[in-house]
Amino acid sequence: MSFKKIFQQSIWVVIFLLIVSVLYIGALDTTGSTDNGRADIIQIQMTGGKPQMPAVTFFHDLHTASLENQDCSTCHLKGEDKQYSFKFMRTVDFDYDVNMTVYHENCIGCHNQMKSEGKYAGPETGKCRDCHNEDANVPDLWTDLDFDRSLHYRHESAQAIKPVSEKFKNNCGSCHHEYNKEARKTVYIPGKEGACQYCHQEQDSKDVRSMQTVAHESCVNCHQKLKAKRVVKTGPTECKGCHDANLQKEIKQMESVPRIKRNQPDVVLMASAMMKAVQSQTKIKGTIPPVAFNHKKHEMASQTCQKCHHASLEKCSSCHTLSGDKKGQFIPLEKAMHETKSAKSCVGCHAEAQMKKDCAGCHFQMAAGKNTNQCNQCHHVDINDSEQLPSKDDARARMAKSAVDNRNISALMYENKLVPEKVSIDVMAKEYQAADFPHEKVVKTLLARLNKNTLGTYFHQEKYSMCQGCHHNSPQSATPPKCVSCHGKTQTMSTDGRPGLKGAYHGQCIGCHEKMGIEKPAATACIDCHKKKQ
Amino acid sequence: MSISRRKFLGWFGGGLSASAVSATGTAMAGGNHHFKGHPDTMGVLHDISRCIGCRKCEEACNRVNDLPKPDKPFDDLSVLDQKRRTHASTYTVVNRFEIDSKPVFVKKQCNHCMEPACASACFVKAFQKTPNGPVAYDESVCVGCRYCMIACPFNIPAYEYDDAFSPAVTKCTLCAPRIEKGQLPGCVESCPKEALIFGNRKQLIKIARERINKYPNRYIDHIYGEHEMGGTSWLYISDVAFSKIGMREDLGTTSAPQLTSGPLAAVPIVVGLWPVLLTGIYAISQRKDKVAAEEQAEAVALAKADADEEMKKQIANVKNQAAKEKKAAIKKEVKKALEAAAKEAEEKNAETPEKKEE
Repeated sequence: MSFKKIFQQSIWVVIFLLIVSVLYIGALDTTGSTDNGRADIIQIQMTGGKPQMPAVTFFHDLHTASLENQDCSTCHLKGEDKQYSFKFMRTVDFDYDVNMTVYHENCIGCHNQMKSEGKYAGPETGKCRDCHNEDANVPDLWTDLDFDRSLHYRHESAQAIKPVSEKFKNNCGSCHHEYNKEARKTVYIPGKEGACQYCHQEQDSKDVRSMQTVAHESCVNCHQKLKAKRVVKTGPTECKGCHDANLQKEIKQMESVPRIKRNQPDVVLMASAMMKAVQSQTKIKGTIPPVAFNHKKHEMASQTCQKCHHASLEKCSSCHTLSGDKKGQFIPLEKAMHETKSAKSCVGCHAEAQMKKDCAGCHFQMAAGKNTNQCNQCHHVDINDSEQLPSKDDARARMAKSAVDNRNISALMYENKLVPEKVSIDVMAKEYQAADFPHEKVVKTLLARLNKNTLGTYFHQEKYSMCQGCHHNSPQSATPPKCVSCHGKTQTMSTDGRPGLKGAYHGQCIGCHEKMGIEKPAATACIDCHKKKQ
Repeated sequence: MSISRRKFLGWFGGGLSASAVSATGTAMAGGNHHFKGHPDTMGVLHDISRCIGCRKCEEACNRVNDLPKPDKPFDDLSVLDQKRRTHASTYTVVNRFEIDSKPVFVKKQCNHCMEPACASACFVKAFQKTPNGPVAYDESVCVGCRYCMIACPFNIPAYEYDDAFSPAVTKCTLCAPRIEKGQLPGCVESCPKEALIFGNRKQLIKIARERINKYPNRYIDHIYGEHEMGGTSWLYISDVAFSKIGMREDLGTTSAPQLTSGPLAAVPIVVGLWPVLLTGIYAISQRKDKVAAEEQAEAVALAKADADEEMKKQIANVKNQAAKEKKAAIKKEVKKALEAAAKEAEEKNAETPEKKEE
């Protein structure tokens, strides 16, 4: 064998070994991270001093997974209330240097110990940048947990969560409380429950801890305790259980969830403008008619109370006054109800709903919330005389209830003869045969999906309102103009951005299919709609 | 008036830096006018959110430009699995990006800059921005240096490497011949979704703004190409961040010619003044040597004259001294002789009285 041949062969062997080692390293799943990312990335950066090093990127679930002792005591201490404090190895914050020592001593100490026991261990002294590394190199999957009605009901109905005292039938007091400043104690007062965030805000304040702190200390401690008692069904104690965007989808949804009872009305008469007119003894003619608001129905549609009641469970107008004042951050009632860009407002939330699959087919082309000729869809309680408006709350509620009950909401229907069965579209006759647009089938499908939810039915009471989805920008009519009436047969130079006929058809058809999740025909499958020319 | 070397260099340096500052600061190479782009220039608005990736634009481009047919037909969408760039026989490509597990399609072609980098890099003026929009290429003057390919911030011009005898740079022409006939560019005409619309650039910007305003939650609030690299005729609006779909967001808003006009404007100054400066320095150093030599000769002459005089003086002195000494010696001798004579006479006299007495 010549030297050259040996040399060549050895080169091949080296290349082979390199490839194998690269594949091997690639296959090593280092730290139990999921493919898509992690929900347990914590950036530890201490406050109260000038940071000397970059923040520590800490994977919480990675650490809990490596512990034999599955309670939290390896890293967290119990406070006076015998609850874990989820600060690391301390219950209160010390000054900067002491905090730093707590971290260094305990983290590195544990790593050293793990190593001496021959286990996989984290960085030791001297490997500062292994921990002090702000770049996690993994996508962050952390998402806020929406504590929705289903989850609320699962806690409310859980046998393991007992009432705080025998006085109460329900277990609401296990979580809900009021703070008594004088006694410096939390007490449960029935009928005063509200969302945690009303008091526990983003940051710690003098008397009230932040939402983040209390959510962990209350929820995780309770789950941990139940887990220790070997209760079968307990909530998560790891980060990903609540905060992983993918795992959240797997949280069990209850099928029928009863109303959360908190003395709320079933129906409300929203008549602030008219009430003011009556009180100031001005003419009510010209003030906006009241809204009979079906509170009960909206509760069912919304997942949390907070969706609308973002700061308290009081009525909207108690903060958002007619002209707006400081309490309502100078957002007047009208804006609070109609702001398109805020999902807390009526119009904003409805606009959000319009982007759901069943509605988006038509509504994605329309500018959100700009439909000003629909005021009377909500403002429909007819009051022509100031004496017709009851002064008492319960009388007004009765009035609202009768207005709601008397609503005649019927599903939208079209008579067969009204709807053309097929429309032949030959705008691309040069390249393809004319496309047969199944007009009737499309109308029927849209109708079925529209009538699937009451929001759709309610806001399409006007007979030809659905036709406007495609026959847009024209008044409602049984014979709306054809596409070609406005869209030129050929695309010319753009002056107002209005598409030509080809662009208009494709924009409407493909856009609608995409938004409504209709996969066939695919957007690029030309011959599924246009048959090839013979 | 006399100018010291230091003063001269001071003035010169001041002049040079002042001219450099004025060139890089405000003005263009040609002077102090500012080119705002041709008015009423045409362009294309690409609404990325509308593109479905059907490759009809690629097909039309191939057809209207009589380009060779590609290996895979245009309705084969598996081509999109790879990111492509423009090529000698492909003036435009559509690329697919997966954003939040949804496909986003982006068409790529020459952006027809308002002030093109390729044109400013070309030293034979093979590229020219025509007033109606297209950046036109003139193959007949091209020398094949491919500086345009390096200069283009969008990596667009391609080169016919496989043509041994008359290779040319190729890129989208904005269908200039079709535009002149009143037709739409091939890609725009064939786009089924009107993800591409052709029109007056100013009008297109208005349309783009209207769309962004009408659907604030859909579009990124930015018209790509309105200001990038001084503005381009091809404009883009998108529902995903441009940086995620392969479009550079680090280009800045200054056009390439403006970026280079400062240094380029300094070239004539440097080229023109450098010989003057160097010749001056040479002349000054020559003169210095000459003056030094002259001064040395003069000094030598002077010293020589001094020395001569001194010598003469000394000689005179010596002569004087000698004369004096001679005189003194004569006097002394005379005196001596006189004294001797006197003594002799005295002695004679003394003898005489005796004789008298006798």
